Amino acid sequence: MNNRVLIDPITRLEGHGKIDILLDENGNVENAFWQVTELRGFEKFCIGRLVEEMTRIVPNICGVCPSAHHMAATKALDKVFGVEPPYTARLIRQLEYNAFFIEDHYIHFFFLAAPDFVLGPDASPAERNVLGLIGKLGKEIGLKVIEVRKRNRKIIQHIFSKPAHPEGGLPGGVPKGLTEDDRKWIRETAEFKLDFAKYVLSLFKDIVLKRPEYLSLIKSDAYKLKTCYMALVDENNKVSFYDGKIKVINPDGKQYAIFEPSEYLDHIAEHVEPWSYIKFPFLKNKGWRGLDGGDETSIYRVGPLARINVADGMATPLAQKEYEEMVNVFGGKPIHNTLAMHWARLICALQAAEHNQMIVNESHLTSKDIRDMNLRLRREGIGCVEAPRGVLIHHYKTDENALLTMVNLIVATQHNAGAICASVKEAAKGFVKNGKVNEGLLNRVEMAFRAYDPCLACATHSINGKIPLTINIINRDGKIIETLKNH
Amino acid sequence: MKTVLIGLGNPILGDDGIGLEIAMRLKEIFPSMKLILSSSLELDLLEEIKDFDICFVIDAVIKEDNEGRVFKFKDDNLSDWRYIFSSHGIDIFSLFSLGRKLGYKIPKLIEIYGISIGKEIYIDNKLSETFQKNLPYLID
Repeated sequence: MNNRVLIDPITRLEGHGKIDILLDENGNVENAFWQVTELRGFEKFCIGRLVEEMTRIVPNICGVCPSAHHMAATKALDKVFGVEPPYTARLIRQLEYNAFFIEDHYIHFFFLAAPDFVLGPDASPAERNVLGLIGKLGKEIGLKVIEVRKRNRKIIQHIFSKPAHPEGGLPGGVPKGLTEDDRKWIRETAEFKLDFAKYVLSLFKDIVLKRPEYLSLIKSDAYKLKTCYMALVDENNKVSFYDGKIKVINPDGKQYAIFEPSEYLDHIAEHVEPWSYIKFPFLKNKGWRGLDGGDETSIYRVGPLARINVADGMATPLAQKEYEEMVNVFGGKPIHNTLAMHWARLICALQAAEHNQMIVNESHLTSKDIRDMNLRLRREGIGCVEAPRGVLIHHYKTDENALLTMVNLIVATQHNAGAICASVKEAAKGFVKNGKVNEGLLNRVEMAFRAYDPCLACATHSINGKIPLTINIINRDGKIIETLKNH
Repeated sequence: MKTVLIGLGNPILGDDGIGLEIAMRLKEIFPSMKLILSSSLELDLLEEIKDFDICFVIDAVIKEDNEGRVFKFKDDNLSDWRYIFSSHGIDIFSLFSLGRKLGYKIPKLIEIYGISIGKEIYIDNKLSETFQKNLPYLID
C-alpha cells in the first residue's frame, strides 16, 4: 500500500511546513519527513554590506527570534573588531537577553504548548488554542502574559532602541548605560517576572504533572527519542544563555565534546537530502548515520531539554531546585522524552527571571564603562548564543574595508531538523496504526513537532481565524485516496 | 472617529513590505490617523490599538495569478483566503477576539486591504520595480 499521510500546513506553529508520513503495506508507519519552505538568498543579500549593518538586518530575518539573532550578530561583531565588552556592558546585554528569553518562552507555552494539555490533545482545533485556554483558565492569566511581555519589551527598547526588532547592538559594548532611576523600574519588573515564573511552573504542575494520563503521555515511547544533545554551558558547567562553551553529550549522557563556538566547523557538518531545502546538521566526527535516533546516532538536539541534559545544573538556586525535581520525575538523565521540553522551557525561563533579579542588584550595573572602543578589524568573527530554541551561530568574514564576504548562520531549528523528523516518526508509530488516521491522532503527531517550537523564517498565517489543516492520504501511485480538512 | 491604520510587512522580504509602504504614504494623506507599522501581529498591538474607534489593515497576501490586485475582505468572505503574510504572530481575527475577551476596548475592524504579491518571496530591502512603479495606483 505504501500510503502517504500529508499534514499541510502544520497547525498552530510559526511558519509553513508539512509532514509526510509514509505507511507500509499494512498501513503502519515506515518513515516520516518534515519539509520546510526555506527562504533562500539571505547570504547573497548580506554580501558586500558593511558588517556593522548585521545587527540591524538580522533581527528582521523573522519575528520569532529577533533578539537572539541581534545578540549573536553583536557578539560576532565583537570578534570581527577584536574587542571585548566591559563587565557592565555584559551585564546590560544579559539583562536584555534574559528579558527576551522570558517573553519568548511564555508565548510558546501559553500559545502553542498549553492548549494541548488544558483543552486536551483530542479537543477540536477550534477550541484547542489560546482563546480556548483563556476561556478555561480565566482572562487574568492572559492579562498577566501581556503584562510580562510589555515589561520585558520596555527593557529591550530601553537598551537596544526598539522591540520586537532591536537594532542597537555595537561591537565592544552597548549603546547606552543604565542609571540608578532605571535600576528602580527594572528591579520592579524583575520581581514581577520572577513571581510570574514561579506561578507558571506551579500551573504546569497542576495542569500537566498532576494528571496521570498526561504524565504517562509525556513519558510514553511515542514521545521518546534517543539522540545526542548540544548546549552552551558556563565555566561551572551550568546552563548559560548568553555565553560559554558548546558542550555535546552522547545518548548515554556521557560528554562527547566541549569546544569554543569558534571551533564549530570542526564539530558540526551538514547533510543534504534531496526532498528538503533544510540541511541536516550532524556531529561531524561521528559521520552521517541517517535520520534515526538510537545509541549510535549522530543527530543531536538543541533547546530547553538539551540544556537540562547537557549541563550539570541550572545557574540559579530556584531553577536548580526545579531541575532536580524534573530529573527525579524522569528517573535521571539524559531525559529523552520530547514533551519534557515544555517543562524544561519553564525552568529555563525561571533561570532567566532569577538571573535578571541578580543583575539588577549588581553595583556595576550603572557604571559608565560600557564600551571598548579600541576597534581593530580582524575580518572574521563567530558569535554564539543559546537562543530560546537552542544554539545559534553567526559566522561572518569581511574584506579589509569591513564589507561582508561570507555569512553563515546555523539556527536552532536547523540543528533540530534531523531530530524533528525522527520524533515525528516515533510519534506516528505510536498513534497511526494499521492505516487508522483521524484528527486527534494526527494532532498528537504534531505535538511532537511543536515541542521543538520550530521557527521558520518565512511564515504564512491563516487570515480567517481558523487553522488550516489538510490531510491527504496518498497511495503508492500518488493518488489521493482520502482528504481530511478542518477549514 | 479615532482611526488606527496598521501596515504589516517585513522590510527585508521584498514585496512583502508593500503594506508598510502604502500605510506610510496614506499617513501623509490622512495625518490624523494613528499609524502602526509592524512585521507581525503580536500581543503588544492590543495596547496600541485599544480605545480607537475604527481600524484598517494593509498587508501583502498570496493570490496566484493576481499580482498587484488589491483585495478588500472581512472575516465573512475569506473562504478562499488562507494566508496573510506575517513573520510571526497571531492572525488578526484571533488577536481582536483575544483583546475583547481580555476586556480591552478594541476598535471595529473596518477592512483589510490585501495586496497580492504573487507566490515568490525573496530577500530584498526594496520593493520590486513593478510595485515601485505602481505604488501611486495602489494608493489611489
